[in-house]
Amino acid sequence: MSAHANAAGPQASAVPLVRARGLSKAFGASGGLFAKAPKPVRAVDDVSLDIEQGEVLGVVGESGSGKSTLGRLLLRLIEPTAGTLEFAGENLSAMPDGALRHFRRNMQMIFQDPFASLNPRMTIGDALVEPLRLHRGLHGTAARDAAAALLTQVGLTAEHLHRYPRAFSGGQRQRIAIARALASQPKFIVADEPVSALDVSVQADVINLLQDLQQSFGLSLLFISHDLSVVEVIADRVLVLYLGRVMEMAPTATLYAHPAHPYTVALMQAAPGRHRGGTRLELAGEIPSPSNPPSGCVFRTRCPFAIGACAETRPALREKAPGHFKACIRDDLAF
Amino acid sequence: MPSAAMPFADSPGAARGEDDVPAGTVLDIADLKTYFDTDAGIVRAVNGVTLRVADGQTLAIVGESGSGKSVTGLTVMRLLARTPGRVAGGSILFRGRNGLVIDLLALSEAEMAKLRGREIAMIFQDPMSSLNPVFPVGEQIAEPIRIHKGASRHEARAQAIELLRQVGINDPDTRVDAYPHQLSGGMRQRVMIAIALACDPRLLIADEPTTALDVTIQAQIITLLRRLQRERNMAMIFVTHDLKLVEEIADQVAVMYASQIVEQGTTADVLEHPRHPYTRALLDCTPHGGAHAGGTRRRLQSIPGGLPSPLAPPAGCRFHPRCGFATAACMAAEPVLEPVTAQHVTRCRRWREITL
Repeated sequence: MSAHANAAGPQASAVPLVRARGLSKAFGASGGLFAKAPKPVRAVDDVSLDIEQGEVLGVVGESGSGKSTLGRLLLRLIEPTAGTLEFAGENLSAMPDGALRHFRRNMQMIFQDPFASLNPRMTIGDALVEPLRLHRGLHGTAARDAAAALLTQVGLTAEHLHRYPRAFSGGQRQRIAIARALASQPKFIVADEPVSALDVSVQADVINLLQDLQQSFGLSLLFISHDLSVVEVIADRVLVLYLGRVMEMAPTATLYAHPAHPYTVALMQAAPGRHRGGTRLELAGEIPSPSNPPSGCVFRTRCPFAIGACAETRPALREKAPGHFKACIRDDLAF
Repeated sequence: MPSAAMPFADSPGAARGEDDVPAGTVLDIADLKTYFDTDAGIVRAVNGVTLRVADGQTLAIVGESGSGKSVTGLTVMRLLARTPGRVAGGSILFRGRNGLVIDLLALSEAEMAKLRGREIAMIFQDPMSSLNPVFPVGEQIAEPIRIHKGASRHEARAQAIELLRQVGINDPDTRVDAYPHQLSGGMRQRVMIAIALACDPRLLIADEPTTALDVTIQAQIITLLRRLQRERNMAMIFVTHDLKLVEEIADQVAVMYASQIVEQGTTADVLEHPRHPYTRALLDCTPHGGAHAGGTRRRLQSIPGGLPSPLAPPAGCRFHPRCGFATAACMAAEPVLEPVTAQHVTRCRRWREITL
């Protein structure tokens, strides 16, 4: 499979594959068993985004920024507390459960830990045949053949079908997880830190594989990672999240060359090996609790450029250049 | 006896003593072998490792999972007693604060216990599993101070608060009474560093101390470690899988693959002029930024094949099945560490002929 670097770019069209408007998720609004006073945790707060067919949208941010929650919301694995979600023009947020079950074949997920995402008691063949039967109605030899074809696509062979997950390394398991996600012939995949648990030499293989498959099938991908250098390799556009809110969103090349939000700059400079010479914009403190976010701009408590006005109103996500959005009132900063 | 010109080159395993450890060296490991006896056979996790750590300097040991980098650190700390692991050969010479050289492998458990924490300390990847969940962090910092320095409870608590301040924890007078679960991951790692530094060790072994942390917190911890190291003139062994972190923190780097050091030298030499195909390959598959530079997208390089089984590493050069430069000679005999310069060694017999 050869995928050329600049072939098969995203297809901008009137209707994006995934469209989210004002998507929010607050957890624990009802209060848990031991909660003193129920205080909702706003994991994702008013996020709007489009993902075109064949586009890779990278999502970066620290732990607690809401990356994974956003991924699950887009698949409707969890219900939003506010906002709407459309998939290829269909209103996914209002779809009844029965219809949603059939619709799910269009959307799949790949998780971080390939040791936890495969059933240790199922052979790889059985793990692949299950979605083939459920979503594509394949049985018997046809299902086996399709499973073998899937394994070949991810760089494994048909003889692996009879083995159990324990026989495979982390990288191979992640390939199997990818094969399983592809079984239903989805249009959209959420990959949540898919290479974070892998060794670097294996990580590169899995990223290249994902990129090849994404391009040859024209898949749309939400690629969630804490590692900005990995996202840079695979994403067409990048969304930077902080405390559930979009800080910045831009085409990858633009974002890495001309980051406009202080948080993006701080994240980039924090990554080792990225600030050769010069002083690093090092963030003090840690991400605040999402149950008690700062007023105004949520990033202001760690932002070295915060001014009085930052505490007053929530900054709008403004388009500072075509396709380049930022939620920061300071237009006087140069990075 | 190793000559001064080739400090890292393989040397015969003759009995070694104080004279073999040059002044300015804190730790001198020679031909170390750590084996694990398992039902499936002997895992030679560390197989002939020779290393030196200079006073106040940082040596990074970099490698992928199963390369033996962590076991090397654990062996120095003599923390293998409750595992199936055993030292099958080699020596670990340590120069203490009093200037005397001690063979760590010859010490009794009681003698080693006196050294551990006081002269050599260690921090791990996951602070939650290293901290005791049922004691306040202050007591856990105070414990080594009371044991090693004989401080009173009151003095130890005061020192614990001061240490918390030094590792950058706000409001240390209150936080001293916090339990580990009340702290974030970054703060727990700061507490671990405070415990490790409580008795002012000469050598700190840090095993992937920032791997579980966000990049922003990682940057804080690295800055903190560097500052504390400078202030205390402490040597450090920094075990990591991340070459980009090596670049930030280490003076010297040893690259491990399949239980052996395959390349060692100054960080600049090894990362900028690698002389082993594995080091080159690791550098190439690490995303370095600029993937979109020039309008076309660059793909990541990968290393063909997988990590070898620790039970049966390949014959000859252990990297030969994955190496684009391998010849019949590489499969036939195991290469030795060859000096490239006085400061730089590689375990590749072809380093002179190949361009990396």
